Amino acid sequence: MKQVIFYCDTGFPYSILAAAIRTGRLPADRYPRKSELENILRPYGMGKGDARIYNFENSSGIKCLALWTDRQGGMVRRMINSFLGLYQIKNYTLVGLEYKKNPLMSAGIWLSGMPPTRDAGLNMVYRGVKDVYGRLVETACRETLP
Amino acid sequence: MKIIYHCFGGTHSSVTAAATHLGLLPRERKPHPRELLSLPFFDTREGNDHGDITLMGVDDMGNEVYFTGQRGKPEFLENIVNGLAQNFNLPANSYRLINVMPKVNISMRIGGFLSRRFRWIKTGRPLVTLGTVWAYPEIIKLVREILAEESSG
Repeated sequence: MKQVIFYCDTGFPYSILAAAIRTGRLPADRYPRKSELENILRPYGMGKGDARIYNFENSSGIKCLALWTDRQGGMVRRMINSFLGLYQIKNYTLVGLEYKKNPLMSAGIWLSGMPPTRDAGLNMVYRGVKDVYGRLVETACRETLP
Repeated sequence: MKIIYHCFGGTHSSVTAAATHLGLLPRERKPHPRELLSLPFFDTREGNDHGDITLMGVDDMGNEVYFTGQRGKPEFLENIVNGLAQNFNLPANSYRLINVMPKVNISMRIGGFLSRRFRWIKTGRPLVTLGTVWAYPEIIKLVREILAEESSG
């Protein structure tokens, strides 16, 4: 089975959201509720990303990986492709997510880090995610398993 | 075993360490600048090569020796390599990452930056080459440690 690796280099964990959609932890047929989004993002954080690889798997056996960074996209892609190439591993698809982190989201992430403004910050992040959620679902579900 | 030396640009200290490991440079004395400049990949790699894990050769013990650049983000390389190994069921003892950045001196940093980033090769290359000669005792100390660990199994 081909392993799907979601990757994003815009400094927001869109790849985590895509992996969550693909494995059914976020809905693909509607916008997620704010609490659903928060539940997914909380364990991974909304930091700029350090290329740590997270594994997502559901009970039907659908698996995928997700990682994100802030820029350095070309280098990270080469690291992934060349390291797997050393072991002649070809059964994977690297899916790049190009969605930007808009200023509203940046401000939201910053505000969500402080208890008094946490809810307002999360609302701003939610708004930003909602803007791209449809395209995110499309990408997450497009990569069909062979 | 795949031994991967890494540094900022993957073209000076990691190439030197990999070459020393493979016996392409002397282990008992500092190399002459000419010897460094005749090494494959020394001061030749570009920004769009960063992250590309490149084979330098195979050592006497059968280890494959590689080098790469990580733009000062060693944690990216470590997280990616360890994460992929875990998720693709690759044995953790089948590869080894060695960061050569702590052995890099100021002359290598400035020379490497001028040569690779600004393309001021006439100024940067002699500076980075001399810096590598100066840093060589430290680089070889690291390589010797790796060789000793590998030969002891």
